[in-house]
Amino acid sequence: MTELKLLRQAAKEKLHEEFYRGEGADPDVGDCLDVFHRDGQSVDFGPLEEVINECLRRKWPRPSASDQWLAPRLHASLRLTRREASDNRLWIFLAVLPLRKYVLWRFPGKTGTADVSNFFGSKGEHAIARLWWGAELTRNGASYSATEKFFSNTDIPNSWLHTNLFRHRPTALACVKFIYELKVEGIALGDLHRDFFKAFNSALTTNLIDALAVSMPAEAERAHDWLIPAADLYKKNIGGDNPPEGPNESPVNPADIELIHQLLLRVSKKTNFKKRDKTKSSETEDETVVGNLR
Amino acid sequence: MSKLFYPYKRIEGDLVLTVMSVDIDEKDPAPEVLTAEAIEQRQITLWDQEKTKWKTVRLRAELLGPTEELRRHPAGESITATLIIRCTSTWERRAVAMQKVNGPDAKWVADVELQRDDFFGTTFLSASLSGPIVDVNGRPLCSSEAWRLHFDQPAIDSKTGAIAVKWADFSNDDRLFLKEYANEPFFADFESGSPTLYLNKGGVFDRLPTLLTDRPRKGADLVVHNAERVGIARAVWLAMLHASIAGIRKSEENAEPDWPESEWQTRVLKSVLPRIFNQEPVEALKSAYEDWHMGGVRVIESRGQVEINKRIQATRWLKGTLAYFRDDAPSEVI
Repeated sequence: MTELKLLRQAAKEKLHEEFYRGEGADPDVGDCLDVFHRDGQSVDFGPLEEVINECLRRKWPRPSASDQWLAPRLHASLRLTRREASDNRLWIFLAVLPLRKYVLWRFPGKTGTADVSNFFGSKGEHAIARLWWGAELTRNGASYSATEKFFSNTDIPNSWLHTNLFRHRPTALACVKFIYELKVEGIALGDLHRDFFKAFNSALTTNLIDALAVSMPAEAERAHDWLIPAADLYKKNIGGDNPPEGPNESPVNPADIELIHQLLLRVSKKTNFKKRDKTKSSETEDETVVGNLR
Repeated sequence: MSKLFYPYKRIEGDLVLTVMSVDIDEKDPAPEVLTAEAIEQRQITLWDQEKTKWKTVRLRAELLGPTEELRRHPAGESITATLIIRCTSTWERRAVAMQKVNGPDAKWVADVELQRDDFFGTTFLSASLSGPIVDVNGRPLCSSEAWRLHFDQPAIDSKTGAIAVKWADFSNDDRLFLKEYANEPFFADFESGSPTLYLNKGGVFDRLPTLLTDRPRKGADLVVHNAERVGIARAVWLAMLHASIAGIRKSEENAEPDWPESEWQTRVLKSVLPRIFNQEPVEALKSAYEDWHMGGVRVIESRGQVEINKRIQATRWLKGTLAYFRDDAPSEVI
């Protein structure tokens, strides 16, 4: 069994530039490893490894194009509670040890050297954690359709995943729907959403999204059932073109998503969209843009 | 560029959120979490329950608003209350509609159930009133101070270090040492048993709570709040660091330096020194002692300021402040 473990930040001190270039054997970081247990049992990340291997086997126009396919499958194969997923050591372990090859392929860096943040960074920066958290915030009940849309352009998660407003699920779902609907002639999607993000962020001074759309009650039993899938369930979820199914929880009330959507429309009508001379391509550089936090 | 705090009438009176009851897995907590001190500090400690593997915490929250002011507000009966639960570690942001209580007072209640699996560290519980303004729903009118729910043992508070924070009217307080500082906005007491930061809410500082209390904020309100908060936090952190350095002990000339006798000073040093000197704690302690006694404290002063700025996230808040004054910010309310 491929046992999930935890790797402390101290492991960073043992890694040298060759590691980030993909050279050399697996690093000797055994003394930085901690045990990961759930209710006294180990957790097997084998299905996640299969998903990653399938991702690497497939042909993509560029590595970033794989995010859309991989994010829901990663979330469905590595089943965690948010509490477990908030432990950065878990993601460091996966990136530094068993899934290093994927991280280096997905984020090769400008000069062939991956960035430290892809292995040790925060939720929005980490190569693997960003996919899991992006899926967690944009799933709607058992559906990952919004997740696939969210990751279809890496500019969008790079800018929106960090924000407090995106943690409000009806807002996240409404934003994903709206951002890709937004079209202004002559202005690229990347420029559109940056201007829109600033305007929406400012609009939250006088609009309380929490009052517009309250949360669905937590469904503890369904969440618990999700953690323990049937033995053959992974086979149905991974490797194929059909998206997997997420936790069997009630979806967000469509009326609530629509209320936020109306707010987004109102904001967009008053937003000053500007064309920039040079828009950084999401295909050549995955730059993390940290918006104002609300 | 025109900036307005809020272009409509907000609620100025106090909005008080109180946690009335707590149960853990449908049983009374053990130990009790709603102690007098916990209620005063608006903190609920959950991580030290005797039943270590508890799963669910249920809270009943009550919100009390300024009745007369709410009655006169243009939004009137349409004003609603929302309980907001936020956890930075698990990116949870939940909203629960509060129910209005029939009666003469502006009072709302809500019962909320939180699964431990969804939270880690400290979770914030606050309430906001909102209402329709010119046919647009959801306009925020005021917010309460936040309660802290400690699902796990908190690390040293990034804003105030190992220090408790209390509000007091300095000029009318029974503690004479506070009267002496009645014209100061705050006083950090390191002489008593445990360090305490006193914030002055009396005299000319009677609106300081409005500026500094933890509650959801936006726009210029947030900018001013952060500027003042960072200023106080920086001063307090520097004072704690200096006081803690002075507490380093050395029994004999050739002995190794030892941690201060005071627990809070030791916590401060263990938290800060390794980052200043980029060493393990024990080595960093030796370096700090040498810098203090032979180096004129130059390293601690120069690097300590950078470390403290990181700790209180001063750069992040300054960036937010500067972004607020950008020329292309929207000048009208959306």
